[in-house]
Amino acid sequence: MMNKKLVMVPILLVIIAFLIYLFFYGKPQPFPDNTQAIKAMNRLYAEANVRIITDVIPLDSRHVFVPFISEDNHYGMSFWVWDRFQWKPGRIDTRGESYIWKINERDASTHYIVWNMDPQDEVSEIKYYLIGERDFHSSEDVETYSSRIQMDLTITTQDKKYGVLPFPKDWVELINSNLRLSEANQPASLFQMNRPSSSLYIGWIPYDHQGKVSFPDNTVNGSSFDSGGINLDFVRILNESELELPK
Amino acid sequence: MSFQLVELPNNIVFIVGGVLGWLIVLILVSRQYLKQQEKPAYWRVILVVLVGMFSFTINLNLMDVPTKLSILPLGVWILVGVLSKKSWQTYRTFAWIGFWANFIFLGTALMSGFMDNWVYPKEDASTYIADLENAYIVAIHPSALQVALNKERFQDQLRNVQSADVMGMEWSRESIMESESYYQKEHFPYALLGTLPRWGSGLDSTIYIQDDGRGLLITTSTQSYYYRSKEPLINMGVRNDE
Repeated sequence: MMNKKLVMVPILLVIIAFLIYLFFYGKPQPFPDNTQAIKAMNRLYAEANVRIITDVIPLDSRHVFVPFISEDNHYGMSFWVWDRFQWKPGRIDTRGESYIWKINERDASTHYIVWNMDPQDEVSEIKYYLIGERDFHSSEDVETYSSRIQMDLTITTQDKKYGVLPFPKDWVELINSNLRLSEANQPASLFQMNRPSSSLYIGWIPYDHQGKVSFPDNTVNGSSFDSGGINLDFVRILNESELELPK
Repeated sequence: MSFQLVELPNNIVFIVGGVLGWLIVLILVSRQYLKQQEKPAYWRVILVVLVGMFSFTINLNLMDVPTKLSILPLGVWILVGVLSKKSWQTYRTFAWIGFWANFIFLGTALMSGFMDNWVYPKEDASTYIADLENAYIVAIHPSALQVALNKERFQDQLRNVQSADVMGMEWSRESIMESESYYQKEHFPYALLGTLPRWGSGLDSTIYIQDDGRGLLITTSTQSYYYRSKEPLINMGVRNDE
């Protein structure tokens, strides 16, 4: 009797582990075709009113970015995940303002900038910035200083109004090392799950074809539907006066 | 209130200290077990010791080591309440070993803190920059020039750097004040990425290099260290005007 039980326990454990594996990590199926995807989005969020899917851009095997155009010509974005055996739009936006999609919050190499500019807005170039504020702390026995970080990345939106951009290697290194430092400040503990926070942030400035800052009114206006599971960070439009311009 | 066993150090000296603490507790428990006549089941003894560790603590920074000082033996009180008078007699020494174990851990933590400073000197630049194999330099501010890193030369210079005062407030002020020549420029416009600290130290830091190529600033989560070198640490080029 005892022997039988002892054999059953590991077998059961293996079966449970296998089921959990299937449940969470089952190999994703091909992404649904456009008609199906449009149907799924409109059923979930009627306001999206999707007419055309512009492109289907996979970030990895389980996350797909789908920019679209609605019946009333709004330029929107949807964020799909392979979740429990099906492709689901975890979030639908009727605007195309820049976001950072973080697949794994703790690793900046899995963070992607996404956008879908409304062509009515005269944006022919976007500059993305990685900013870290200059910081010092001075007391009797502690002296710290951190440089200002200001790095930029230019994207042209003349031909293609939408896109997905992984962070450059340097940004990834800087952000990850910053995350490690802020984690060192809060001692690790089994009972507390601290959300990692970095003091670095991303901002953007849209420019028109003359190289002048142009505010993208249409792109930033819209609504969104969120069914959870998508970790997005808002990307703020910077003012040029916030930047340092050494002479 | 806390269990002291849940802290997870990433520093090898503290890990060794933690293991040592548990070994001492194990020895004390075993000795008591062999000594006493009443021999309860092992798992009950272990449970009693663990519950006995539960205590009300205050956080203290002793010699720069964050520690917890246990004051109230909450776990022991719980056991007194839960156990019958007879079994309390059997288990009471184990419960108190559990409580006093907190002080054994405090002792090993303090010893580790002392050893840690000796094994990994905090004032030494080479503690933070031990492995340069995957190192590279990046301009992090528009006031940066085009520069290059020569790893061997950097490693050589690192041995000869002199410690200097961190002037965080000065550097900040000069970059912010319009009247200063450093206005909107950065004193440390380069970052050295991809380096590793001394093995087992767990000392993460951000490493900046000064605009003249001769200053090295290492900023950890709690402190900055500043060093000057007579020779340039990196190859300086010309201003990269876009």
